[in-house]
Parts: sequence; structure tokens; C-alpha cells
Amino acid sequence: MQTEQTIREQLNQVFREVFDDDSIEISDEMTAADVEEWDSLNHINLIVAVERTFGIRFSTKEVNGLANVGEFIALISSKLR
Amino acid sequence: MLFNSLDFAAFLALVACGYHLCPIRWRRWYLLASSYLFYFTWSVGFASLLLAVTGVAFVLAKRIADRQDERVRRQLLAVAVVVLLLPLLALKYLGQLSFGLIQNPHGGAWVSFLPSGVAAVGISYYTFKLISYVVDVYWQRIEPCHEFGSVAIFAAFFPQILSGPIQRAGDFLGQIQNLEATRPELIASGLRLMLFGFFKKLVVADRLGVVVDPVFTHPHQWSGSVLALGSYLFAIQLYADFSGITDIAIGAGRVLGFHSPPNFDSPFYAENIQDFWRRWHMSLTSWLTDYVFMPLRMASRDWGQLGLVASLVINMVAVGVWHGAAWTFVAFGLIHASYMAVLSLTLRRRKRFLQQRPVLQRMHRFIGPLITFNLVVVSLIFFRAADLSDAWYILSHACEGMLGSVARVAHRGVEHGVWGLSHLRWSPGDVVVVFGAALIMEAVHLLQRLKVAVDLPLVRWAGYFALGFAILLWGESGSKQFIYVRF
Repeated sequence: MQTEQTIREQLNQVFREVFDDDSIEISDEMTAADVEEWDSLNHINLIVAVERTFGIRFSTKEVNGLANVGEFIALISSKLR
Repeated sequence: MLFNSLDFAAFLALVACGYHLCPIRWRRWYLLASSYLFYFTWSVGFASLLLAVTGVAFVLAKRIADRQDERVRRQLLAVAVVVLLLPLLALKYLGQLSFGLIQNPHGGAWVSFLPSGVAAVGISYYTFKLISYVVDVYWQRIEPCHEFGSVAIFAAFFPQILSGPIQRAGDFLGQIQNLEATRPELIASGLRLMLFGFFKKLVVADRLGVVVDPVFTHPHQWSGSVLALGSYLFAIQLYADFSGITDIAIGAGRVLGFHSPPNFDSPFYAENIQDFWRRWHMSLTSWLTDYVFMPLRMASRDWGQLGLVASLVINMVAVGVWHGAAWTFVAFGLIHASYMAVLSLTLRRRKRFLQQRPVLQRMHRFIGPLITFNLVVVSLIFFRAADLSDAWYILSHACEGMLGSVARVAHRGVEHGVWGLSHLRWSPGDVVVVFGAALIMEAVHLLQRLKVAVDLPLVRWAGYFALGFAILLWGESGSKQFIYVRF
């Protein structure tokens, strides 16, 4: 089982690749408003990249319920348990 | 009852006075009664439909929340969405088709949106509001509301019923369940916004309509350069008209103490088409993004770029046909889908290309909005034209006309060459008034966007009086229906 720290590091790398920006540092409070190119089109690219990286699958309901990156990390952790 | 009528001004004044005099615990019932009274002025019969679909949404949302079994919850959601959509499809789309909208040779798409009189006015808006309520309960974004009256006010709230904005249930129900004491500063800001909305509608939109309407109604009578002018002016007319009624709606909401979501954010300064849709009719765009595009993209995420393009096409055609059952609206949606698809598929390459060329990147900030505005104008020709053949005629002749005008200006000078304005019934005074008013509109939008508050009361009041006098002096007499009320 992966620790939250390793999930966070891997997720940070996914963010950098999807948004093509090596300066991104994710935080729990981070939302789409904090990343310039995080719109509805890139949101799905992010979801797909996370699914591939962690070998998990999200439902529309789960994705729509996310309020910030902290909740995203919690969701990934719950799927990996 | 139209927003741009004295009846509405009197109605709002009476309702607002009564509302603020009413004890807080009775206010929601008073507001419900007022909203239905407003709807009765359009149609008593269709008010019962509004009540019925509200009841369906209320009951099924509660059932969805009560059940644990995901399969049953999903079935209830499907039933709710179908039942809520059926009246909209039957009354808006089948009705329009059977009344010959597409075949109407006299600009039917534009003038006969309400073929049987007033029809189920506001149905596009309240249906979408109620669907969002049920889906948000299903997604557990919000708790179901246990008071039918609150959901009924949400659906029927009279400032928003004619043309939105399409407010989300969580946002509105939170306000209705926590009604606050009267806030004079909110009432004042609402009245200011309404004044600005009337200015946009009566002085900018309706005055532009004098030129735009004949151009689009009988395009074959006009030269290419006039068709081009009419196309550009329609974009400004539609913006002034729709953002005008939105300001009146949001302002009227504020007069009653309610906050509504924004619908516009300087859309003609958008750097690209994606940015444009984040700034134009924002409440509809975000609704479709959440409830159509995102579920489609999630379902099609394993199909690669094909899934992206398919989702974009369905979503943008939905944006188009939301306005009505006409091929022109389908074309409008497809044009925007193609813009969006090209942008999305080339995003990385464009970004890298510009990063390597800093001069071009700086220029892009100015050129981007210019290109975007022109692309929007092209799409709006299809939005406004009576049918596809008219749209194509206007587009092709407008392009020829513009190129021809450039040649004529070079050859004969500006006076005779540019637009042939003398063909239009527009005096130089009209031109000054309407463009002056449009510039004032944009200056105020800029102040709003930059959140600049004018602290000097003298200057502020001079501004209000100037807007008021402008409406009295230059407001188009016999003001027309707001364009978006037809949808």
C-alpha cells in the first residue's frame, strides 16, 4: 500500500505532465482556479492520467464531488486501500 | 409581463415594498406567491406545469437521497431527468417544428419563437434549474430540500424565470433557507444594475436593432458591406440585449435581497473560443459542462481524441439547440464545436510554438481577442439568420463586401466607399448616439471588471442621471422583446 506522501509525490508529477508546467507544487487547498490551464478539457486529461498512474478507476459522481486537491488525494488513497 | 415595461417596474416596486415590510418568517411564502403571480401574467395554464415539474423534482430528489442501492438511485435519476425534459422537448421543440419554423420563408426562426402566443415561457431555464437540483442531490453535492415551498421558489423565482441566469440549487436554497434582514446597500446596487441593464437594452441593443433587423430579415436587398456591418452590429446588439436583461434580472434579485450568478465577463476580450465560452452565457455554459460535457467525457475517456471531439460536438450542438429547433442553431453549435476541437487538439503545439517566440506571444494577447471576436461574429450569422441559405448568403457576401470595401476606399475614399451607410436609415446623429452608448457600456463593464468603485457621490449620481436621461432621450421607442426571453 502506498503512503499518502508517495501518492502526493506521484500526483504532483502527473500534474506537471498534464499541465506542462514543471513549477507546479500541489497542496491540499489547491483548486482549478489556482492552475491556469486547469479547465474542463484538461480536467479529464488529469483524471485519465491519474487513473493510468495509479491503476484505478473513478466514477463521474466521484469526480464531480471533488472540491480540492486534498479531497482528490483522499479519494486516490481510498481506492488504493 | 415584460421586464422592459412600466407594468414590471410597478410590479417589482410593489413586491419589493411588501417583501421588505413582511416579517422574515413569511417572506419565502410571499416570494412564492409573487413569483407565481408574475408567471400568471404570462400563462395560468403553464403555471400548473411549472408547479407539476417542481413537484416531480422535489419528490424524486428526496427518494434518491433516501435510497442506498446505487442501481435504484440511478433509475430514479433517469426517471427524473426524462420526466423533467419531456415537457421541454414537447413544447419547445416539437411545437416549433410543427409550427413550421424551419420552413418559414419569412425569417421564421427569429420572429416566431412563441408560435402559440406566450407558450411555456421560461421552460428552458426552470427545467435546467430543476435538473441540476436532482442531479446534485444524486451526486451528493447537496442535501435534498425538505420544504416544497423553497424548491418551488427556486424554480419560479420571477427575476430569473424569463432569461436566467440559471442558478444552481445549492446556491439559491442556501439563501432562501437563511433569509437575512433587509440590506439597503444590496437594494441600491440592484437598482443601479437594473438602470444599467435598461440603458444597454433601450439605448444600445434596440437602437442597433433598427439596422440589424432589416439586414437579417431581407439580406438579399443589401450590399455585401452592409451585410458585414449588420453581422458585426448583431454581435454587439445580442451582447447588449442579453447582458442587459441579465443585469435587470440580477438587479431585481438584489432588490429582493438575493445574489445571482454572473452570466457575462467581457466576452469580446476573450483570447480564444474556450475563453469566450467561459465569459459568455456563463450560467448555461457551466451547466452544460457539469451535466453534459463532463459525464460524456468521463464515458468516452478511453476513446482518445475521438472521445474528446465527440463530446465537444454533442455539447456544443446542445448549446445551439438549447436556443430552439432550427438548423441554424445546429450549425451555430457545430461551428463552435469545430473551433473548440481545433483549439483543443493543437493546444500543446500552439503553446510550445508561442513559448519559443516571445514577440508573437506578446502580440497574441491583442491578436487573440480580435480573431476570437471575428470567429464569434461568423457563428452568430448562423444564430441570427432565418435559415441556412440566408446565413450562407450573408456570410459569403459579407466577406466579398468587406474585401470590396477595402478596394473601394483605396479607390474612391472613405465617404462613398466604406459601408454605404446612406442605404441604411441611420443619420449621423444615430451613429454617434449608438456608438457613444456602446463605448459607455464597455467603459462601465471595464470598471465593473476592475472592481473600481467611484467614491464621489456627486460623480456617481451624475452618472445615474446621465444613464436615466440617455434612456429617456435616446431609448428606442416601442422597445422590443428581449431576445433571450424567446429561448
